[in-house]
Order: sequence, then structure tokens, then C-alpha cells
Amino acid sequence: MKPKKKFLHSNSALAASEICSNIINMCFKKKAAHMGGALSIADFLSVYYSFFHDEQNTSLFYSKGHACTAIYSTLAYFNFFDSGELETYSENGSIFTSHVSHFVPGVEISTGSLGHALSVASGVAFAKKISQSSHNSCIVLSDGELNEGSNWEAILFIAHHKLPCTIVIDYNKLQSFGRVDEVLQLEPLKQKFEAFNLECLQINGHDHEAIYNALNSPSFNPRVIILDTQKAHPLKYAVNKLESHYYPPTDKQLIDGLNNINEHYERYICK
Amino acid sequence: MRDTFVSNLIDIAQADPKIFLVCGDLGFNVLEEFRDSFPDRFLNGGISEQNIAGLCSGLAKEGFKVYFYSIGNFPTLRCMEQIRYDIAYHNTNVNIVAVGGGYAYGSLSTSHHATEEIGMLRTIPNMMVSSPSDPSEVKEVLKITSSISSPSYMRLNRSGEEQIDFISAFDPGDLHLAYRGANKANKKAFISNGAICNEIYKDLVQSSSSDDLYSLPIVKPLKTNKIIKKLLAYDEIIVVDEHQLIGGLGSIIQEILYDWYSYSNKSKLPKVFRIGIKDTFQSVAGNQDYLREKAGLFDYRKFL
Repeated sequence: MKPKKKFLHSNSALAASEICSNIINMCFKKKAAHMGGALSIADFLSVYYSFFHDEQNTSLFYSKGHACTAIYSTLAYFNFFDSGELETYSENGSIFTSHVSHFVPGVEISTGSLGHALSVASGVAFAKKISQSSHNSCIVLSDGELNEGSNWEAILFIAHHKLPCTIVIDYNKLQSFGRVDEVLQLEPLKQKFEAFNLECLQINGHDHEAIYNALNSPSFNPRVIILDTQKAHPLKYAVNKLESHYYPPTDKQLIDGLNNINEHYERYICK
Repeated sequence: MRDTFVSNLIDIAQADPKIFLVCGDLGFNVLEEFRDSFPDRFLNGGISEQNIAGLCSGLAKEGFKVYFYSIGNFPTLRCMEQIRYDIAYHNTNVNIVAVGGGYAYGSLSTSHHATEEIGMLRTIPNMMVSSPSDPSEVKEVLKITSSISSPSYMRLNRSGEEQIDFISAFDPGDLHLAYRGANKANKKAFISNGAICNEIYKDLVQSSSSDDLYSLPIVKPLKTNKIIKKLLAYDEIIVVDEHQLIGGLGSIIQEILYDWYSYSNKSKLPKVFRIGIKDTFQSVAGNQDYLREKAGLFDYRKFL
């Protein structure tokens, strides 16, 4: 994927700080679940939309639809719609449903049932490839989602047709009701993708520069980027805890969490 | 029906560069001509119907009018959630076509008996659902699916089905008069679709029956007012469907009639006798007619 802008840590850190703050505020206000998996992917989304997103040549398919607060907050931050609209999140009649809705500007497809986006994205990528456009589809999956067999059908297809896709795995190692390695072991994950003939990188999913470098590739071949992430990063009270998949923050946890977010990102943000 | 579908799709694809055909690794001696005529608009997605249903929606998002062709349960039940969520909810132009409707692949066993798919698919919003009775209806339904942008399902039988000499013109969503018996009072009407409609037609012609036969090739969406107007002319209606009774054509006719009756000031409705599969599987080998007989589908003959 070719970057649209040069890497500037300050830009993506500012985005991530705002997006993470928005995620926990949304979960706090609506007493909503799925905060942990939204926070774990916020750094990736910040880097992708700060430097790579390009209306004409890229599409992002967000498969982990339960972690909708992350993509809604990201799209609001990058002005796909007025951020005030997020006030209606999860309310009666709102387009901002608690799993991702394609009625929201900037969203490619609705997701929430896991294991769907990779297939739809592979159809889009196939069409783009036959029309010879230099388009790249980026598909963001959760780790638990890889339990769904449809993903592996799609991975066979993408590898066979060498589709211009970047498959991103948010490997926070906690799924809905247990650790990934105790529910259905994914390891050796990188080798699995490589055995499917896909180029695969494994990086720290909270390191913006590493994300930028991983996305920045002149190749149009399909690739996988495994992001080693932490659920609920960077909230100290919730990080790597299964509870962050379910519980919204309490009043005190909200204040502590917002402080954690500020402390974590301020070192990168140019004053 | 199958050959009519393929030859007509080829004709449509000659004129419309957006037609795209996807199969799930089948179509030997059926799809070669399409594949060779339009290699850039044909894809064998492999034996992976869940992925194919999703990718068809992706192709449609990019502007293609996609046809997904496979056997019975595979492009339907196997990927029902992808049909509901990726295709119907996003209202993409994906047209699912299944061969082997009902017991058409009789001896291939329950895996290949498509006897529930219409009931399931017709509950899904945005889906047009059809089961044409003869090659001429296949052609008409195909024409419609290639001209609308929402998704559809078409059930085909196999090949070699005879043409029905229809009396009325094809009107999508309405009953299609296939046979008109000699005028008399207390006339019965048979309503059916799919290949078994063809069997009833032959029986009525052969016996010079005084009853009438309608096909209902498109079961959703329906022109209910037109249908009710026709049905009210009869005292007895026999609905024959090579599908489970639950959710099938008989259910559709009863729903239409009773919904209408509940809001009307009429005191009487025609009787509706439903012939269909009685909540069972067929677990023995047998050709289509053997299994139809065993399932009680030929019981309509008691009404002849």
C-alpha cells in the first residue's frame, strides 16, 4: 500500500489519543460493551487513516464489527461526518448501531457477524484486479474471528488469485469467553498464513512507526500483518483483561482511563 | 430448465458486459460455453459457498450483475447467513440459481434434496424468490433478475422439462394460467410451481380435466390483490409443492387468503388443500418420481 502522507508520529498519536478517549467516553455514556477490542485496534486505525487512506485507491473493510466504537470514532476524527453525530450512538433510531453499519458514511460494509468481511473484500479486490486498477483493500480482523471457517476459505481464494489485499489481524489474544490459546489455539499463526502462500509480518500493534513501515509496501501482492496488541490498551486498570470485552468504565475508571490515554500519547505529540 | 438458463444468460451477457457468472466448482458440460465466451466474467470460486456468497456481494458492489450457480442446498442453506447479511442486507445484485430443486437429484440422497430452501429464503427481506415451472418461465424470470438491482433466488429442476402452453401472459408476482378446463360450476384450481407443476399440467391435459391450473413462478414479491381476485372464483384450491409444507407454496396461498379474509367483510373462503412434504426426510435411494410418490406429492391426483 502506498502512503499518501509521510509518517509524522505527532499526527497519528494525536488521532489515537482522541479516538481512544472517544471510545471510552462512548462506552461510558451508553454503558456499552466491547471497549477492550476497540482500544486494541485504535493505533492501527489512527496510522492507516492518517497516512494511507485514499478514497480512490484504498478501501478499509472492518470485520470486527463488535468493536464499532473504534471505527466510528476514527471516521468522526477524520471528518467523514460531524463528530457530534456520535452522540446518538446506540440510541433508538440512530444509524450508529452497536455493530458496524454501512449506513454510516465511510463504512464499506456492515459487520458484526464474524467471518464475513474478508469474503466481501475479496470480491471487491477481484473486481478491482480484473479492471486493472491499482486499488488495495485492507481488511481488519479480530483474532477470535479466525475461528470462523469462512475466513480460511477467503484466505485460500485471496492467495490463489494473488489479490491486492492487506489482511490485518488484531492479535490481542483474548476472545469472548477466554484466552485465544485456551479456546482455540491459533499458533503458529504467522506460519499458518505463510503456509497459505501469504507474505506475513508480525509487529507491535501499538508502535505507530512499525505499523507505518508494515503498511508501506510497493507490492500489490496479498499480505498479512499480525498486530501484537493488548486488549484495552492503554488503560492501566483494564489492559489484557477479559472484563474489558464486557464492562464499560465506572466514573473513576473513566477519569483514570482518560489520564492513561493522555499520558501514553502526549510524549509523541508535538506541543 | 438448466440449459434454458445457461443459453439465455449467454444471450444476455452478449449484450450486457456487467453480467458475471460464479460457480462453486461444478457445471461440467453445462457452463463451459459461458466460461469460454466470457473468460473475464466467469469465476470458479472453488468448493466454498460461504466465501463465494460474500465475494459475489463484493463483485456486485463493484457494479457487476452476479449470478451464483450451484446445486440445491449449497448456494442456499450452506451460506444462508452470508445471503442474509452480505447480500440481502446490503441489497446487492446477486442472483442465486440452484439446480436440483426438490427431489430432482433423487438418488443422490438428502444432501442433494432441496426441499427447504424456498421457505427459508422467502423470509429474507429484499430477496426475490422464484421457482419457474417450465423453460419459458425460466426465460421470463431470468429477464427480470437481469434488469433489477436487488438480489434473487431461482430454483431450477434439471434439464429436459417440457414447455407448458400457457394461456395467460406472464405477469411477475401473479398467477400464470397454465390450463383452463371446460366451464362448469364448482370448479377446482390447482396451484403449483417448479417441475412438479409440469406433471400436473400433463395429467390435466391427458384427462381433459374440467379444472384449472396456475403456476406461481415468482413467490416473492407477490401481486396479492390480483392473486386473491383469481382465487375467489373457486370453491376448492389444491396447492402442490415439491418442498416442505412448512413455509412452502401452500403456506403462501393460505397466508394471502387468510390475511385478506381477516380484513374483509366476506363470510367464506375457498378451501385450500396443501400437498407437500410432511416434515420428513427421504432416506432411501430413488429417482425423482419414486421419492415424490413416497413423500405423498402425487396425492394431488386424488383431486383430479
